[in-house]
Amino acid sequence: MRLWIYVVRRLALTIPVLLGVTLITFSLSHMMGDPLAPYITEKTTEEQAAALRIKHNLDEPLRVQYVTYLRNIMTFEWGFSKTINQPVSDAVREKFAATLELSILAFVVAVGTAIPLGIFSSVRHNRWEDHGIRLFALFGSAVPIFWLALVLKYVVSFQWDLLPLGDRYDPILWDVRDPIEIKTNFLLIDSLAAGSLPHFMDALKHMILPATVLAYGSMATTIRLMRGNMLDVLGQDYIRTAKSKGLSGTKVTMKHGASNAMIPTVTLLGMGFAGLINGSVLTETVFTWPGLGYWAILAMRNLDVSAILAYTLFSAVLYIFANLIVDILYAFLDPRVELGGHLSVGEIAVVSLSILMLLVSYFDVEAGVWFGTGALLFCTGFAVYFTFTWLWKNPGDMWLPALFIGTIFLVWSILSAFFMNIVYFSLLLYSIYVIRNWDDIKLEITPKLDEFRRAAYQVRRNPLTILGLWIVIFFLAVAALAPILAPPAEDQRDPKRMEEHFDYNFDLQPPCYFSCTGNSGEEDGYVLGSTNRGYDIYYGIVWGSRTSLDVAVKVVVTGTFIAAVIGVISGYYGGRADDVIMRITDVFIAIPGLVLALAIIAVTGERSIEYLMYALIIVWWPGFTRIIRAEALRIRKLPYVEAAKAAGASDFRIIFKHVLPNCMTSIIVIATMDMGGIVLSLAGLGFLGFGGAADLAEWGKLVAFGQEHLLAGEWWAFFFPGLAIALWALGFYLLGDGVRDILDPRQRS
Amino acid sequence: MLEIKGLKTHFETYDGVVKALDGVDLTVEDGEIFGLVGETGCGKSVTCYSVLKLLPGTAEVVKGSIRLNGEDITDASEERMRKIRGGEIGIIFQDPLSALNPVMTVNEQIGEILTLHQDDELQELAASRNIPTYRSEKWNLSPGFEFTIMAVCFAFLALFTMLGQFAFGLPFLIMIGFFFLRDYLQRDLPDSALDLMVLDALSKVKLPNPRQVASSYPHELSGGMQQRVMIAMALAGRARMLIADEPTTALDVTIQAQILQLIKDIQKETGMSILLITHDLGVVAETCEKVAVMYAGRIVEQGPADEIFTNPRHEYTKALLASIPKGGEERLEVPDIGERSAI
Repeated sequence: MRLWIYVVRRLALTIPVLLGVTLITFSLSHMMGDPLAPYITEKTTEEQAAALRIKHNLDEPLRVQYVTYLRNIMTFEWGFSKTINQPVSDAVREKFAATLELSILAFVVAVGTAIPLGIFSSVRHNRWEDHGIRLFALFGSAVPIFWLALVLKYVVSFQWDLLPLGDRYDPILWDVRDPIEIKTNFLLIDSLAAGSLPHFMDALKHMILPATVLAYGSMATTIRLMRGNMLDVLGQDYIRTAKSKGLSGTKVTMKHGASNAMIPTVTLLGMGFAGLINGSVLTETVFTWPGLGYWAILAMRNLDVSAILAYTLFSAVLYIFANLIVDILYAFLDPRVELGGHLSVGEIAVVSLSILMLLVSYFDVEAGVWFGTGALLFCTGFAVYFTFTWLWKNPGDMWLPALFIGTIFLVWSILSAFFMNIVYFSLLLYSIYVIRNWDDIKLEITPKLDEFRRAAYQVRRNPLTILGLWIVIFFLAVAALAPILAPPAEDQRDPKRMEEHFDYNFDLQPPCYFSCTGNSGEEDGYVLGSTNRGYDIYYGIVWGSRTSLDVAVKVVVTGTFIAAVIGVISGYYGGRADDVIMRITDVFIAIPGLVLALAIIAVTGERSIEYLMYALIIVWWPGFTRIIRAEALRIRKLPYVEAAKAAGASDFRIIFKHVLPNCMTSIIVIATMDMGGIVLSLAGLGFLGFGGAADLAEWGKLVAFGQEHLLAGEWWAFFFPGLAIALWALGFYLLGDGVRDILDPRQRS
Repeated sequence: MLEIKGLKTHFETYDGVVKALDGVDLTVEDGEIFGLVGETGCGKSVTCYSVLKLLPGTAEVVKGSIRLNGEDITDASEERMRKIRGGEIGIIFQDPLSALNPVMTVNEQIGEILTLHQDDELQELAASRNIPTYRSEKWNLSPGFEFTIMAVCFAFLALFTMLGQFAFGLPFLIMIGFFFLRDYLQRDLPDSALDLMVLDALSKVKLPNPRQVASSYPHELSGGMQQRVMIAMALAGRARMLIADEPTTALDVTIQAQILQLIKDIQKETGMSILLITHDLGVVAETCEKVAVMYAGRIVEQGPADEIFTNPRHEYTKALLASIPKGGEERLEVPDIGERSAI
C-alpha cells in the first residue's frame, strides 16, 4: 500500500477513537455533579438558574446533550473554568505553551542522553558498567517523580539556594522591573526574541529542576528499551556478518547494531510522550509550574468539571497524534514493514459513520441525534446478528461466549468485593486437587524442579536480581510483621488508620532513630519523625506496606485475569471482535492513566481505597491486554500452532495448551513489574490528595504531608515515605527484569 | 594456505565446561576445495569461528595454533584480524536472510566491504574514469533518518510559524531547503566507483539485473539471490580463502545445485581455496577434492575425497557413509560410537 493511503487510513481511524474519548468524558461530566455549578454563585436566583439551564441545554435529554457537547467541542466552546475564572479554550492555549516548553526540553534531554547510554550499556553487557546503568535506569522508573522533585527542591533550592523554588519566572523581573513582550508564551523564546539575557537566564533557571525531574523518568524508560533492543540486535546473525567483513567494533555496534535497534525504540517514544504528560501533572504540582497539569489538579480538587474534561480530552488528542506520527515514522524507518493492514468493511463502515455523525451534528444538533441513534442501533444490530449466525454455524465454540460472560462476572465480582471469596475458593479447590493427585503431580514437577534449579543458578549470577529479591522479601516481611514492628495503640479501632494527635507537641517531631526516649507514637518517640497532626511516619510506612500490598495484589491479579482472557482470545481469533476490542483499548489508552484515574475518583467523590483500586484496574487493563494480544498474535502464526491445528486440535485446546502457556513469560514479567508500577500510581494519587481516607496509612499521602512543610526544613516527613515507595518499586522492577532474563529461553547458553 | 593444529575451544555453560573442539588438525592447501563434514553439533562451525575469532563471549580458544599463509594468527591483534576478515578470508553463512542486515540495501552492504578492503582500487578507478569515489556514502543518510530529521524540522517550523516567531523557524527551513537542494544537485550524477564495483561484484555471482538487486533490501530478494549476494559480499574483498559455512542448508535442492556450481566456477576462475563446511555428504562428493570427517570435536579421518568415499578407515566414517539413504533402502541412524566430548 502506498504511504499516503496508510496515513489517511490511520488518520481516519483516530476519529472513532476520539468519539469514544468524548463519550467517556461526557459520561464523566454527568456523573461528576451538576454541570451548571460553575455558572451559579450565591447571588443567582432560581429563575436565573432555570434560564441558565435552558441556555446550556441542560433541560434536554442526555442524547441531545451529548451531541450538543460534540458540537461545542468542534466549535471550541469548551465551557468556563471556575478555578481560574477563564474560558477553558483560552486557558488551554495559554497553559499548553508552558507545559510544552517544559516537555520538549525534558524530552530532548532524555532522548539525547538515554540512547547513547543504552547503547553503551548493551555493549558492556553484564559488566559493572552495564549493571550501573541498569540500576540507574531502573531507579529512574522506580523513583516516584513527585518525591524526586521534592528531594531536588529541598536540596538544591532550599538548602543550597542555587535555583528558584518554583514557578516559571521571577515576577519582580518580568512584571515589574523590566516587562518584555510575551508573544508565544514560550518564555525562553520570548526572552530571546526580546534579546534580553537576564530574562533568558531567569526562565532557564526556573526550568532546570522541573525539566530534570521530568526527563529522568522518560530517560529511564528509553535507556531500558534501547538496551533491550540493542542486546536483541547484537545477537542477530547479521552482526556476525558485519564482523566477518572486517569492520571495527564501534562501527559494527553503531552502524549495524544501533541503527537497527533505534527502530523499535523510536516507535516506543510515543509512549514516552504519554509518560511525560502523566509526569507533568506531578512535576508541575510540586514546582507550581503554571501549566496544564497544575491547572488540571487544581480543577480536580475543586471539581471544576469543564476544566477536567477539557484537560482529559486535550491530553487524549495529544497522545493519539503523538502515536500516529510515531507509527508513520516506523513505516519509514523499517523497510520491512508492509504498509498493509486489512481495510475491512466494518472498519470503513465505522469510520464513515463517525465522520458523518460529526458532520451532521456540526450542522444540525437535532439531525445529529437522530443519525447517531440510528447508527448505534445499526451497529449493535449488525454485531448481534453476526455473533448469532457465527455461533449457529460453530456450536462447538459456545465456550467462548461463556468465557466472556465469566469475565464479566469476574469484573462484577471485583466491583462488589466478592472477588477475594472466589480467589480463596479456587485456591482451596486447587489444593484439594493437588493433594488428591499428588503422585501424578510429583512426576510432572521433577523436570520443573530441574528448571527451577537452573533459574536459581541464573539468579545467583545476577547481583541485581538478588538485590530485587531481597527488597521484595523485606517488604513482604514488613507487611506480614506489621503488628509486631509497629504495634497499634490499644484504643485504635483499625490499625491501618494512623493515630492523630491534636496536641502541638506531637507535630513535626524530628526523627530520633535508635535513641528515642518515649514509646513509638508518643512525644520524643518518633523513630522516623512525625508529620503535622502528629502522624507517626514509621507507623505509617510499616502499615502503609500493607495498603500497598493489598492494592497491588488485587489490581494485578484481577487486571491480569481480564487482560489474559481478552488479550489471548482477541489475538488468537483476530478479525472483527479483535478490531472492536482494540478500538476500546485505544480509547482507554488514549487518556493518560493518571488523568483517567483522577477523573474517575473525582467523579465518584468517594475517597475510599476501594474506588482507587477500581480506578487503577480500569486504567491498567487496556495496556496489558494489548501486550498479551500482540503476543498471542505472534504465537498463533508460529508453526507449532499450525501443526496443532493440522492435528485436529480444537481452538479451546490450542488456546489453553499452546497459546496461553507461551504468553506466560510476558504475563509473569509484566505482572511482576506492575506490582511496582501500581504502587507508584497509587502513591501518585495519594500524593495529589486522592489516597483514600484522610488518616489511612498510605505512602503517597505521607509524602504530601511532608510537602506542606518542606520550606520549614522538615525533610523527614517527605523523605522516608518516598524512599519506601522508591525501594518497593525498585525491588519489583529488578525482580521482573531478572525474571525476564531467566524465563526467556533465548537467554540460556 | 590455512593450517590448524591441535585447536581446542571450550564453552563455559551452566552444566560445566563443554569441549566443543578437542584438538582439531587440518590443512587447506592453496587452490583446493576442502570439505569438512560431520553431524550437527560436532564443532564444524566452531572451527571456522575460531579461525576468524568470531566466537561468542562464553567460548575461548584454549590451545592450538592457526596459521594463515605461514603467518601465525592464533594470537593476532584485533586490528590484524580485521584485515584478515573479509580481506584475506571471506565467509558465507548458513541462513542468508538473517545474515544480511535487514535495513541496509545490498549496495550499502557490499559497498561497506569494498571501502574496507578495496579502497586503493576504488580510488584508482575513480581517478582513471574521473568519477566520484563513494558519493552515496557521503551525502545520503539512511532514508529513515532523513525522514526523521525532515519531520522534526517541519514540526518545529510549523510550531514557530504558528507561534508567530517565524525567525526561529528559519534554521529549520534552511535545513529542509538543504535537503531538497542536495537531491536536486544529485539528481543524475554518474555512478560512483563504488557503485560500479558493487555492480561488478554482483554480476560476478551471475545475478540477473544487478542494478535492481543493488538497490533492494535483502527481504525483497529470493533465497537463492540472497545467498548469491552473500557470496558476492564474501568475494568483494578479494579474499584468497573462502569459508562456506553450510551455504546450501537453507536453500531448496535446485537452488543448492546452482549455488554449488557457482562456488566451483568461482574457484576455477580465481583459484582461491575454499573450506566447505557441510553435513551433506552428497555436497562433498560433488564439489570437494579433499575431505575431513569431524566427530565430537575431533577430526577422525582426513584425505582425498575419492579415497574416503571408497575406502573409509574410521568406524565413524563408515557409519556416516552407511547412513546415506540409497534408493529403496531404509534410512539408517548414525550409530553412537562413544567418545563424545566429555561434559
